[in-house]
Amino acid sequence: MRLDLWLAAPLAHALGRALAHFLWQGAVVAAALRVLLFLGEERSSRWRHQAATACLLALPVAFGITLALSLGRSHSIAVLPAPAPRMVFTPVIAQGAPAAPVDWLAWLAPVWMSGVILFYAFRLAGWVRVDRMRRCGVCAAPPEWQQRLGELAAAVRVSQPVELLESCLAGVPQVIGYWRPVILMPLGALAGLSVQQVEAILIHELAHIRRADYLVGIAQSLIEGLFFFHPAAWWISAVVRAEREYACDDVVVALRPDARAYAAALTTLEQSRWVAGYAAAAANGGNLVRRIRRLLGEPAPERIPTARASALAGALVLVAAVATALVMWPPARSFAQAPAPAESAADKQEPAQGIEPARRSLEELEGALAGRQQEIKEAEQAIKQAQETLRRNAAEIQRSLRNGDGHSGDFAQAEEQMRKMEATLKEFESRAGESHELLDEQRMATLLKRLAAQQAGKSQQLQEVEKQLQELSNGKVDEALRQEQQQLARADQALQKARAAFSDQSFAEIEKELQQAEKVEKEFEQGVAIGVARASKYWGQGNEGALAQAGQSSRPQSPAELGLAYQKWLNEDVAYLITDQERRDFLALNSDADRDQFIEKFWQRRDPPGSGPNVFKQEYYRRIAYANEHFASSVPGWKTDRGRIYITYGPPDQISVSMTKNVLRQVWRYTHIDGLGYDIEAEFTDTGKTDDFHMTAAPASHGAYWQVMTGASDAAGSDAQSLRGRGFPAVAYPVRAYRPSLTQVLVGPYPDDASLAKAKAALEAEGFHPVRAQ
Amino acid sequence: MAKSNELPRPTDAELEILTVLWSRGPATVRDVHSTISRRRPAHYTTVLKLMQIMTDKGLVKRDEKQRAHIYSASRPREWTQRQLAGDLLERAFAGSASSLLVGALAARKASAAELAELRKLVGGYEDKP
Repeated sequence: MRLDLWLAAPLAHALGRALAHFLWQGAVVAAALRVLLFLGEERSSRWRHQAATACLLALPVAFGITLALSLGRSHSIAVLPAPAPRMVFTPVIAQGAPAAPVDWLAWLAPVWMSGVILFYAFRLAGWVRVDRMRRCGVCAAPPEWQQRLGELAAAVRVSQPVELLESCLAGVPQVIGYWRPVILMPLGALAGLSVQQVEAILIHELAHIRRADYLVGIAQSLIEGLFFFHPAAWWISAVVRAEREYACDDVVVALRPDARAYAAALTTLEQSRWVAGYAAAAANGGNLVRRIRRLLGEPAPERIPTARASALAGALVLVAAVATALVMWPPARSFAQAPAPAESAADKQEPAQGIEPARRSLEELEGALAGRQQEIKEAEQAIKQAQETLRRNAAEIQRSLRNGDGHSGDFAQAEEQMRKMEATLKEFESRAGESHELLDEQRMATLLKRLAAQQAGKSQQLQEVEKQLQELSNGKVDEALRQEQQQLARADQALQKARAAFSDQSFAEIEKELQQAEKVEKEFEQGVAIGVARASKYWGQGNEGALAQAGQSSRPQSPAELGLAYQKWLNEDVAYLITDQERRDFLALNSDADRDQFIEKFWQRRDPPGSGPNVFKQEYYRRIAYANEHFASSVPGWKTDRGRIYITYGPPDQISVSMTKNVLRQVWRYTHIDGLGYDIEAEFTDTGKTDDFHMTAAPASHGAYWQVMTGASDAAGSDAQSLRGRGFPAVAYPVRAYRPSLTQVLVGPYPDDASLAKAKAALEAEGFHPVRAQ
Repeated sequence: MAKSNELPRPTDAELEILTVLWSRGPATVRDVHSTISRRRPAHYTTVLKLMQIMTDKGLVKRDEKQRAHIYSASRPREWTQRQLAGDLLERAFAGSASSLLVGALAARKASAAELAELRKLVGGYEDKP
C-alpha cells in the first residue's frame, strides 16, 4: 500500500490522534499510580502490585477507547460538513497558492508502527533466547532437591509440576514458563548456599509461578512495546516489576521467618554473578539494596531519590501537557482544509459556472472555521486539565518532600526544582495564550488569502471561456463543418469511382488473365512431357531387365501418343510387376480408354480371390510409398535394392542388422514367399563406399533355392544357361552390389528339401560350390 | 592464550555434558549418563561417543589411571560462560530476554557500590546479637 494513500485514510489520522492524546493520558495514569502508591504505602506489596498492574492495563484501554472515538469522529467530519454561519468577506490580494496542508498527526501512525514492530522483533528474539535457556546447558538437579521442591510447591500452593534444573547459562535463579514451569538455578548455587537459603530462594521462585508472573511479564512486554515512546509506560512497568519482587519476598518471609538467611542468600547470589561476570554491568540497576533493607526492616534512607523520581514524573506530566496542547490544534487545521483542495479541483473542471460556487465554498470555509473554534475550545479544556494534573502532582511532590525530613539540602534542591517547574508552567501558559491568539489571526489571514486566490483563478478562467465563446461565434465552427462536409463528399466520390472501376474491369480482364494462364499451363505441360521423355530415355538406358525393355519399347512412341501418366504407370509403378507379355499388350493399345481398362483389368487379375476390389493395388502402392519414404538415397526409394525387394515381396518378417569391419549388413527374412518357398533371406550391405545398402544375396530359400555363384552378369547368364542345359532350373538373378553388372545364379525352385539336396549334391559333384553356407 | 582461543565453542549437547561435569565434578561416563537420563531418554553409547569427541576437541580431560575413566571439564564454567556470552547475537538480545525473565534477582546486576552496601547490610545484621 502506498504511504501517502495510507496516510490519507481515516485510520492513520485517528491513530495519530489517539497517540497524541495518549501523551497526556499516560501521564495522568502515571500520576494516578503515584498517588495510589502514596496512599497505599502501608498496604501490602500484593495490593500495590495489583494497583500498578491495573494502571498498566489502563494504558491500552485508554488508548483503545481514544482510538475508537477518534475513528468515529474522523468519519463524521469527513461525511458531514459543519453548519455555516454568515461572515463578512473582505477580498485580499492573492499571493500565490496556499501551501498544501501537512497532516502530521497522520504521520505519527507509521512512525509509531515501525517502532512497535522493531520493539516486538527484539522481544521475540529475546523470548527465543529465553526458551533456549530451558533446554541448553542444563542438567537435572539432585533428586533430593527435586523432592524438596515438591514439598515447598505444596506449601506455596503451586499446583502444576515444577522442574528444578541447574543451568550453566543462567546467572541468577529464574523461572521460565507457566504451564510447565522450570526453575533454573545457576550452577553451584545449590551446593554453595545453605539448605535454608536455597529453600528461601526456591520459595521466592515458586511464588512467581503461583502468581503467574511469567505470563504477566509477557503481557507487560506487549504493553511496553505499544507505548515504547512514553516514559510513563516504562515507569509503571518498572513499578510492577519492583512490587512483584517485594510480594514474592513477602511470601518467603511468611514461610521462612529467617529473613537474614534469605538476605544473605540474595547477596551471595548477586556476588557470584559478579564472579561469573558475563552480563554487561549496569551502574544503578537493581533495586536489591532496597529489597534487602525492606527484608531486614532497616529504615529506607532513599526518600529523596523517590522525591527526585516524583519531580521527574512531574516534568513528564509537563512535557505531556505541552505536547498535547500542541497537537490539539493541527488536527483542526487539517480537518478544515481537507475539503478545500477537492473543491478547487472541481472548480477547475467547470470554469463556466462562475462566482456562485466560490460563494458556496466560502460559506463552507466559514463553517469549517466555526468547527475549528470549537476545537480550540476543546484544546483549552485539555490544557486546563493538564494544568490541574500538574498542580496535583506538585502538591504530591511537596507532600513527599515533607515526609523526607532531616535532609534539608535535598529538600532545598527539590523545592528549587519545583519553583523551576512552576516558572515553566507559567511560561507555558502565557505562551499557550499567545500562540492561541496568533493562531486565530493566522488562520483568518490564510483563509482570506485562499479565498482571494480562488476568486482570482476563477475570473481568469471565466475570461478564457468567454474568449473561447467569441472564437466560436466568429464562425470557426462553421468552417470546420464545411471542411468536414467537403471531405465526406470527396469520400463519396471516391467510393463511386471505385465501384464503377470494378464493374468495368471485372469480366473482360479476368477472362483475359484466365486465357493467359491456360496458355502458360499448356506450355508448361509440353515442357514437362519433353523433359520426361528425355529423362525416361536416360533412365531406360541405365536399367537392366524389364526397365530397359520398357525404355526401349517406349522410345519409338511419341509422348503425345502415350500420356505421361501411362508412361509413369508402365515404367515406374508396375515396373517390377508387369510381365513382358502384359507390357507388349499395353504398348499395343491405341486409346486412353483402352489403356485405362487394361490397367483396371491388370489390377483385378492380381487381387487375391475372395478379397475386395483393388486390395492388391492398394497394398502395392503402399509398398511403393513406403520404399520411397524409407529407402531413398541418391536414387528414389523404389529404385533401390531394398525398395525393389520390399515392393515385390512386401515387408520382411524379420530384419537382423550386424556390422563387421565397417560393413553394415541387413538380412531380411521372410517366413514364406509364394513361388519362392519358405525361410527366405535377402542380404543387403552398406560398405560405406556408396550411399545405400546393396543386395549381396538375393532372396533365396535354403530349402527351395540354392545360390551357387555370383559374378559378372554375362558370365552368370551363361552359367545359368549351361546349368539349365543340364537340367537344373537355374536363374540368373541380377544383384546390384558393388558393381551394377553383378549377377547371382540361383538354382531352384525345388518342390522339397529332398530334391534340393539331390540337386545340391549333383552340382557339388560338378564343382559348383554354394556362395553362402546354410 | 593462543591455545585457549583455539578451544571450540561447545554444541548444545556438549554443553549439557559440561554442565553435568561442572555440577558434579569429575565423573565417569556412567555418572554423566545417569544424570542426563533423569531428564530425558539418552543412550549410554551416545553419551560415551560425545564425550570421546569432546576429549579429542579438548573440551574435557580424561583420567585413565583407573579402570573406569574419569572425565572432567577442561575449563571452568566461568570461562565457557564468557565464551558463550561473547556471541554478538547473545549480547544483542540478552537485554530483551532478561526483561522476560522473572526471578529472585533483578535482570540488571547491582553495581560495585551497591554490592558493598549489601555486604555491609547483611554483615552488620549478622554482627547483631
